[in-house]
Amino acid sequence: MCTLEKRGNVFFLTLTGDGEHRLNPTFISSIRSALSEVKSQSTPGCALVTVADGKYFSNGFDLNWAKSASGGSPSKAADLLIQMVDLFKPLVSDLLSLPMPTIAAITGHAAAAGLILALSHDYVLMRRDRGVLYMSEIDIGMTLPDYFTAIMRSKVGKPEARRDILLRAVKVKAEEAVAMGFVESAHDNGESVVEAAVHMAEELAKRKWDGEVYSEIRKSLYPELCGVLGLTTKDVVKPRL
Amino acid sequence: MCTLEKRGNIFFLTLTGDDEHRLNPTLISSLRSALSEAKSQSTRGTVLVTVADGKFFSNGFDLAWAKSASGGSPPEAVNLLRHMVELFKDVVADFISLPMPTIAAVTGHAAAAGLMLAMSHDYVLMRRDRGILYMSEVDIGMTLPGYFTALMRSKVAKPEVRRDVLLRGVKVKAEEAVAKGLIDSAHDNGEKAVEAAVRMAEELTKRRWDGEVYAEIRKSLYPEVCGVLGLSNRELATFWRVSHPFLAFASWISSVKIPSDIGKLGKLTVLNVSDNNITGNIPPSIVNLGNLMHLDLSYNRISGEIPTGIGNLSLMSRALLKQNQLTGSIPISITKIYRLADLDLSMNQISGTIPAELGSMPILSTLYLDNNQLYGG
Repeated sequence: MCTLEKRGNVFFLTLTGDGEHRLNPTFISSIRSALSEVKSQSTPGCALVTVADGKYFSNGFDLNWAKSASGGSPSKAADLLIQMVDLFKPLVSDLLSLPMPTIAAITGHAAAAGLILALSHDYVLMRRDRGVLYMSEIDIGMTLPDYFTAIMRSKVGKPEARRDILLRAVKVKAEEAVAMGFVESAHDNGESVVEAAVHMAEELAKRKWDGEVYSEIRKSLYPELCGVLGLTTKDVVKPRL
Repeated sequence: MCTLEKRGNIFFLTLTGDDEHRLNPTLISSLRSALSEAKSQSTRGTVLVTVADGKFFSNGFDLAWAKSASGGSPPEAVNLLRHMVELFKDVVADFISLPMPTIAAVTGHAAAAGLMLAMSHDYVLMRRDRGILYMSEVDIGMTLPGYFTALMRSKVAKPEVRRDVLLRGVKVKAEEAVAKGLIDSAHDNGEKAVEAAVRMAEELTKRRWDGEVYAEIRKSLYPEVCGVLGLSNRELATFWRVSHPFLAFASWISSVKIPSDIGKLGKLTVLNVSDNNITGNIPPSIVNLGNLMHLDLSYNRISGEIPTGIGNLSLMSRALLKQNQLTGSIPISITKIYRLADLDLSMNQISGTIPAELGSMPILSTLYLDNNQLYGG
């Protein structure tokens, strides 16, 4: 499932095991618990780095689980899939309102809801030698939840990049994702991308930002997304005098 | 005016004639009919390519028509112009909701509403040697309809580009248009631009996307434009449950195959499972359906060979197997089905010789074997 570790000022959320880290209700709940823990332990000058074991960051919703739990009924399977869509939404909200900088270190494939999970972080760093980013929905024949397109619009600036990703289902490697503007940097291999993520986390932690202020400013960057997620913002004034 | 032609899975919408293809009520109506026709014939994998004859893609609204039809009254001319603005809004809406990818091959000038026509497409390819893109409104002295600026905002990210194009009336050639993010690619000449558009269409056709899903995802990319055009997105839950309870999951329900014991349905006269994302083979037991008159397996992903005993289906009058992944050769027994009137094996990977006996079938009136690897006959 996932583990949470704190080393110095940096929290490490690890999606564990060699599988596809498919987002089913259990896994989503597990990540939310971890983030709740992070939030409760937050102090000025912390940061979160999310990493994943194995060949996948996350391959999206657990369609196999929906299929098997549906007892062969397509409409029941649709209901279970909608359930996962509804459960994943607050997880995106959790990351959007986390009171510290967040960095996703992508060491494997991130597809559909798995890519949305990565994009829910402030910074996405990726290895260049392996792994693709892919919004598979058009290929599978699924339309997109509203918060998926909202986060795409908030984080992927170029209209043609959004079109290529959502309407053409291009499989994007790290270098191309950097050129498209939604991945910060590409790194040689899995080890070096995690190292870079940790380094960046430590640099950001040194700024000793107030978590609440950081969270509110982050939300104010993405008013459309917050609207769709039902997140409100408030004024926070805690000047360091 | 305009014509619509279908070649394989690609629709060609052509703005015909050597003129400026000015968007007057007649051309607008003609475009809407063509798009409506394309929509009604849309299947998995269809794509639309728009081309234009002559020196112009389109030079915008027909101001000359508005002037002459106004009987010399400037207020009436303005009314007629407003009328064209309203009519054209529906063309843009048609494009944004068209259930297939759309590609514009711009081989001449595209200005004002003509540029909006091009930009209503998913992909815009243009020749680099001739033709300019130009929003002439500021020069002519006209403000822009809301849906024009919404379309610009949705497709052109850089504020400075939108300012240059709309507020400065720059005339942009293809290379610069690519750099500015107005179009996707520039090509050596008109022929090359159209060729590239067709190649792109052929690539996109292979993805076999569901048109309805494609249109919904496209609309969700452009919420502002949809708002202005009054186009709504279908609510996710409704769409998945009501419209596509099967299709949304067909590709992961691994057992979307024709049951191997289908032959037990001895009384079956019609078997129509077209466009259902079916994989696997045609079960051999199908030849036991002695009462089968109409077989439609078209538009699926069925592989393997046509069962050699197909000739047993002696009452079959229609056999439609178009667009699958069938291999092997045409079983000779098929030529013994004396009641067969319509046979469509097109768009598969069937090889071998075309049986000469097909020519002697008594009532065979339509025969499609194209897009295979057949020879002889």
